[in-house]
Amino acid sequence: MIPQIKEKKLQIVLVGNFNPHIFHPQWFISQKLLGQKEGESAKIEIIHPDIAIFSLDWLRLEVTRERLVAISNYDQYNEVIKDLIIGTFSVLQHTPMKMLGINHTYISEVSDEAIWKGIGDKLAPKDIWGKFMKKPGLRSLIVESNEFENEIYKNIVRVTVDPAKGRLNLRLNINDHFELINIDENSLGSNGIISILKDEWANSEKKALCIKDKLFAELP
Amino acid sequence: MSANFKLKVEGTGIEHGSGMLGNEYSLYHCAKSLPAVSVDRILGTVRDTTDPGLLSERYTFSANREAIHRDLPAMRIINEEQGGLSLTFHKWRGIVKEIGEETFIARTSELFNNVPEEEIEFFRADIQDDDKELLSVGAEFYWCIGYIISSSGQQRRASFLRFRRLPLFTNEGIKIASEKIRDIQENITWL
Amino acid sequence: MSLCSSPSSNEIEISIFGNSFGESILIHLGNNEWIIVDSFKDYLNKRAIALNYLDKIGVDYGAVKAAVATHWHDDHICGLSEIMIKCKNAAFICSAAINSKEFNEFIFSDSDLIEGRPGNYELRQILEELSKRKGNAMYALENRKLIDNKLYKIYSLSPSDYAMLLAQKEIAVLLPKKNQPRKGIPHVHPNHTGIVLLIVVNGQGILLGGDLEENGDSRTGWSKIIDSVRPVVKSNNFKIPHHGSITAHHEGIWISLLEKEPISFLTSFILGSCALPKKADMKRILSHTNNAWITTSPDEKKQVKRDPMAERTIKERVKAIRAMSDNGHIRLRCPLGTKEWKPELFGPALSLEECLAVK
Repeated sequence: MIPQIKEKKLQIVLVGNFNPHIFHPQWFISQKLLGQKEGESAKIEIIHPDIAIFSLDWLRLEVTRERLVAISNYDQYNEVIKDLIIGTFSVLQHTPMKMLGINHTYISEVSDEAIWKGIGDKLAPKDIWGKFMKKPGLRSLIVESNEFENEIYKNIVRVTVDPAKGRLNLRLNINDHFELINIDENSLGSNGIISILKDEWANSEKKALCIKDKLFAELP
Repeated sequence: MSANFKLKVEGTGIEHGSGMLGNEYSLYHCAKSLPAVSVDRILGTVRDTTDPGLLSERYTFSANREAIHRDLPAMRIINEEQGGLSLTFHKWRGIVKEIGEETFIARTSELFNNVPEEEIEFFRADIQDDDKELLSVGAEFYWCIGYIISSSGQQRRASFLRFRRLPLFTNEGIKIASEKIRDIQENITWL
Repeated sequence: MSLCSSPSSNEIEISIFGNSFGESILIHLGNNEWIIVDSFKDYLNKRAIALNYLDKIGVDYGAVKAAVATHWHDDHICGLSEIMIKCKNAAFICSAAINSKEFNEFIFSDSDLIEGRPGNYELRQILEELSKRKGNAMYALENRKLIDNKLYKIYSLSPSDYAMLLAQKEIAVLLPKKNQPRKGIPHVHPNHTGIVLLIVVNGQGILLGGDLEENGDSRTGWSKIIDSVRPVVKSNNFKIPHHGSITAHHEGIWISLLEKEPISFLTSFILGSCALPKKADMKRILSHTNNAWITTSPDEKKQVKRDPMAERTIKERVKAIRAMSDNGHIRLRCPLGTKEWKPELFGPALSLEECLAVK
């Protein structure tokens, strides 16, 4: 029985060299990347040379010197967040970046305990573990695949299945990871990674949907 | 959590109401001659609440969300505060082709679904305040429909419209474009 | 005859596709030489409709000798870059108006970020492809012979010099300036920068009217073409401009440029309450020729079927919704050296007479 999807979430993660101080909601307003009212309603937790965190209704943005994480709170804003990232780094195009992660998370509800246990048994069969453990149960499963590599970048997909908060809730996280291969003087800056985000965005969503559908079809 | 909506009353301008989560919302007209009404957003009915607790008449919303009542001018829900769509079932990207007084027409294509392109006429009133300045022919936007799921687990259908925000032109960007086009044109033979 | 049969090497073919949003024309000039004029994408596989057709009839992409963008409107240019990328032997032909420095700066500043604006994106991709393969391109201007070989000649009859001047003024406002917001390429009305092509094959003329409009100014539009010095060939095949609209009509076309009762074909166009051709347009066209065909009826109201929740929400939230039509296809074939044109209709394509009767 296919688990019912309750929630979908998205995270975009960038790894590079950032200047967190810039990422103030007012800067986004000045660049017309956020509307006036929306930007002014942002809840700022901290804006500091080492770290910046602010939230809107639909977005949580966390920036450190090495990492930027944009978390979408609502499914309808996924493309908006993608646009925000692309727009931001078309302005800040000299920001060096080397990795991109597009994380799709599905939270679903399983109808009963028996099916819940059945899912664990299917993903991690208990006959091995039961030989030397009293009551083995699946806590978390991670499977990784090198999807492709060309002269510019490589793509690795990492799928994690574990319980989510709440009774009989299952979390499926698909981390679509992209990494530049040959970073030289000419490719310093954000263009490489941002081009990958633009080119791979639609495919990443389709890939995540496909993994989710095919995996769920295999579950009891 | 309170939710706001705007109810446009023809001839009197836009009135603003507020209320509690659930089926009913109270609307208080500025003009005292008009009775207060409450709006049931799920069923699309409007109840006269002049006498609290006494259900007098129901108004029914027609398909384009206009409320019809014999003693009141026409009303229509024109805007509702957007909550988060926990689940979207259909997403479109659209380009504005024509702008009218109350509506705009767009060509849209559904994302993640292989269906023909569609032409959709949207209500301008459904554009969020911050996005109103972005409405122009050629402007792009996203439109989604799905469910808002409250903390109590209540589900209701909703839609969401948001214009794309793209960064302004910069001198550097223009310069890069000029250099790029120069390099490209060098390799093309114009006969 | 089956849709999937290709024309013989000594047969001319004109194929016009339309779906009430887009338009694309393929012409076989004999000897397995093809040109493609304008493009739109098939929603099913997101590919240029012209390439889908060539695949169906088993024609190699190398047989395409030219790809023409009559103007930059979305409904005529979507998928043209894919055609240029796949058809390695095709020269690119466009209006001189859209290859100005200002226009190029505009599309190159903008198109990186734009997914939904085909005009910007397609033109940029086309120029990048031409650069990559060091390809050939041609400007279309009034009374210019674009291609001249033993079998056929292709002339452009527009845009005129004055139209080019007007276009430069209009395009100048597009020039990106610092801190200006980004916009798509606007639709310029009247459309006086579009290309009209005259193709002469074995003495027969095919007049492709593009979307050229007429506003009574003798320096632009159809007035200019009719009054200008041009090849003395009257065409017996006519692609009616701008979806049969009155804004693209000139009596002189039917008198000076066309034979009596020419085979005429057009695509419909729908945007909001504007549905072209109107009833009056159809009557006007039929007063000039009984041999008229249209790819789809402008009255067709198609809907995409979705789940009940979606349909209910859509009904509540929008004023109107309509899907584009299925792809209509008119195919005309004629053995070289004869005037025995055989029309075939596929999908929702129909005769203009029938279309008028139903309206």
